[in-house]
Amino acid sequence: MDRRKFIKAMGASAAALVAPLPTQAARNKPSLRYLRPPGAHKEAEFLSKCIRCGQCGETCPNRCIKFFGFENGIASIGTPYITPREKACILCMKCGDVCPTGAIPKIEREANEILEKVDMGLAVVDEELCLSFQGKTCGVCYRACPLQDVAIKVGMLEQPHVKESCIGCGLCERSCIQMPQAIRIQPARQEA
Amino acid sequence: MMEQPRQPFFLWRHLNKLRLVTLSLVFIVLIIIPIFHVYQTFVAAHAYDLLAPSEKRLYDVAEFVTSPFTNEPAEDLDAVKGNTWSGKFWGLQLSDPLAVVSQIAASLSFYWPFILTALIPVILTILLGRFFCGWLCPAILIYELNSNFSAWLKLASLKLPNFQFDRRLKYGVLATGLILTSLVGSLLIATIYPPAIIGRELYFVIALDGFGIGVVIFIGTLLFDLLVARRGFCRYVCPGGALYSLLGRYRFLRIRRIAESCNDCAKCNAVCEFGLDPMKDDFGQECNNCTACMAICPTEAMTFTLRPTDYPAQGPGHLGRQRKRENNFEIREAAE
Amino acid sequence: MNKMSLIILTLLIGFSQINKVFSHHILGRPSYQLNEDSNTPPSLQGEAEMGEFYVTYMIYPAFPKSEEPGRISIYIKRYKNSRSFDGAVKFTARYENLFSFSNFDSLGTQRLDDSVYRQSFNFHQSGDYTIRAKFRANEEDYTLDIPLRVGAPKFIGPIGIVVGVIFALLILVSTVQYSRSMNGKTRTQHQIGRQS
Repeated sequence: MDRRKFIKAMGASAAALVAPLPTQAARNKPSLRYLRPPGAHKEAEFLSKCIRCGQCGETCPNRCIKFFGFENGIASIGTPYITPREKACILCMKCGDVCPTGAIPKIEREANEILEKVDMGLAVVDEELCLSFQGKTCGVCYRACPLQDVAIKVGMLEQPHVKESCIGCGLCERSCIQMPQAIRIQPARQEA
Repeated sequence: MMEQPRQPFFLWRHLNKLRLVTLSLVFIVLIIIPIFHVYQTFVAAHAYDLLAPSEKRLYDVAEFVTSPFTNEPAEDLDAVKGNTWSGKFWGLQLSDPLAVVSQIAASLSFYWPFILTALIPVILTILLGRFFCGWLCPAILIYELNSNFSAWLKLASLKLPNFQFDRRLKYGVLATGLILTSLVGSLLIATIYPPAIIGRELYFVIALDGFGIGVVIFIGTLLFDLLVARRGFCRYVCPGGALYSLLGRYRFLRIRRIAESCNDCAKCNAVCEFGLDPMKDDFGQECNNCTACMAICPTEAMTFTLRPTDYPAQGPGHLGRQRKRENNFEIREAAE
Repeated sequence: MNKMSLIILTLLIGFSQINKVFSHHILGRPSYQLNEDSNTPPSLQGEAEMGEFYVTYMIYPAFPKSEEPGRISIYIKRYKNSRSFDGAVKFTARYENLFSFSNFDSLGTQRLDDSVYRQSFNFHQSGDYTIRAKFRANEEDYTLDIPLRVGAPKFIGPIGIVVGVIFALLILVSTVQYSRSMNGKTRTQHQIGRQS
């Protein structure tokens, strides 16, 4: 265990040299806001387990999984990610089924199971931009949510209120009719 | 006076053609998988009318091809997915041993369901040696075309440097690659390993926006082969080749020269893509049983043998000029 | 009966007056969002995380063409409280050419206007451009490069061309000139053999 810790510490320093993690990156450099596929491990563990075979992307029926080039550092070349505004995850859980390495664990396609194990991020509403908060009844994000009333509730005038159990699939962000979108997913991976 | 030399089985000199067919098939499958995936997403979306004309064409062709076999393409076409780095064939998941080794190095843990996917390739490699390199690797097809191209350039009297390095360099690349991978905690080997790159990039260009940076790395290796050392990447750098060579050190299936029918023409040396010396018998662990030497041999002096070590050096072939000279000399001496 | 409906009507009107609400029928894209100065969706929408900011950018119109005015809108917001950055943003643009590096030409400097930084542009030449937005916050310079394609999109990029040419060449030489190249192989081997 000690040896492993030592290697991990060495690894952290080497990683800082080769590919600064998003939190350690130069603060004023642009970086992407991206999600990992549903159920994926936290960032460091995910990077060490993913073999970049691309099978998650090849089975995604929504083709929402894209792959990194240089954008996110050398360490994550070829790893899968999702930009929810372009195409969001429909929670079919096929990528976990097909992932050979367990970087994306197998999760059954069943509401409780998904709620318990998937944590891609949390939706955040920008009340300055949101139409419903400007007095124009909208509610599109609520209708797009696969976990209505569990992850997101609407109040008066269809004003969306995101709850803690939101798993961050991004369908609300994808469907938001406002430009730029008034609801965004804050990726959960940064908390790791 | 001379005993009748052993003849190799007549089909073996045609194995090289079969090998080229296999390589092309692997490449075609790697192209078809992303096309079928795009088709699957169109089917799953139930939106034929919204497709662009070119997408409709793709849909129609894919439907025509798959309709005799499946009524539910969105599910059934999931049967074959992935690439040579790691792929699924009707429920059987197979992975490149290098993928497993480098994943263990990166995560410093053993995830058995994944490790077991490399079991069949490892067993085959132990028995057959570096066969993946010659028979399955999608990159080798392009590398061989590239080596033909550089030979053609040489005929056009264009002098290109062809340095020789130590073949053991690639074991160093493998070791440093694994160490770096485990230090960074991320599979860096996967980003420079050509077979993995090709599977991935073909998917990117067909199903996603376009080529990624893997293509740049791969073109770099092609230029290295062309301008620095012929077939240099496979011979001196490739970490996968290093791992297979190590695994296949005591392989059972070997190529053997029948010295009795060899005439020392050295054509086998010329066509050997890995720069081995089939004429000197002792191939070592690098041979990938590609059978190019069998195909070109004019006197059918190359054959397979089943034994865990190479034949020791047999000296010049009995039909060779040197051998004849020695024989004549002996005969003359005996006569005197 | 009549009285009842009158009461409901009064209540409804009063309710809407209190909240200053005019409900809209939402079917597809709402016109009030797109008609600022263009009634089309943006040609490009993207975003980047920079330090404590989310930067969202959009380029109008849907198909930017040369000699036609276009507009880039940038929203710069803080993660924490969704408050807009309110300094000045400087816009420059560069024509992207594979063989020569041109300098960034100034487009203008914009101040915050209704939580948006809007910059108009009018390029005289079709091609690839990079628009660079620069701003300074917390003693640090922030730079964002945005790629923009003016005119018809390219069917195939430079990497695609290179890959296509290489493949065509390799396959052509190996099929058409197969025996010659095999000859070449054996001949060079003999030369090497003679030297050693």
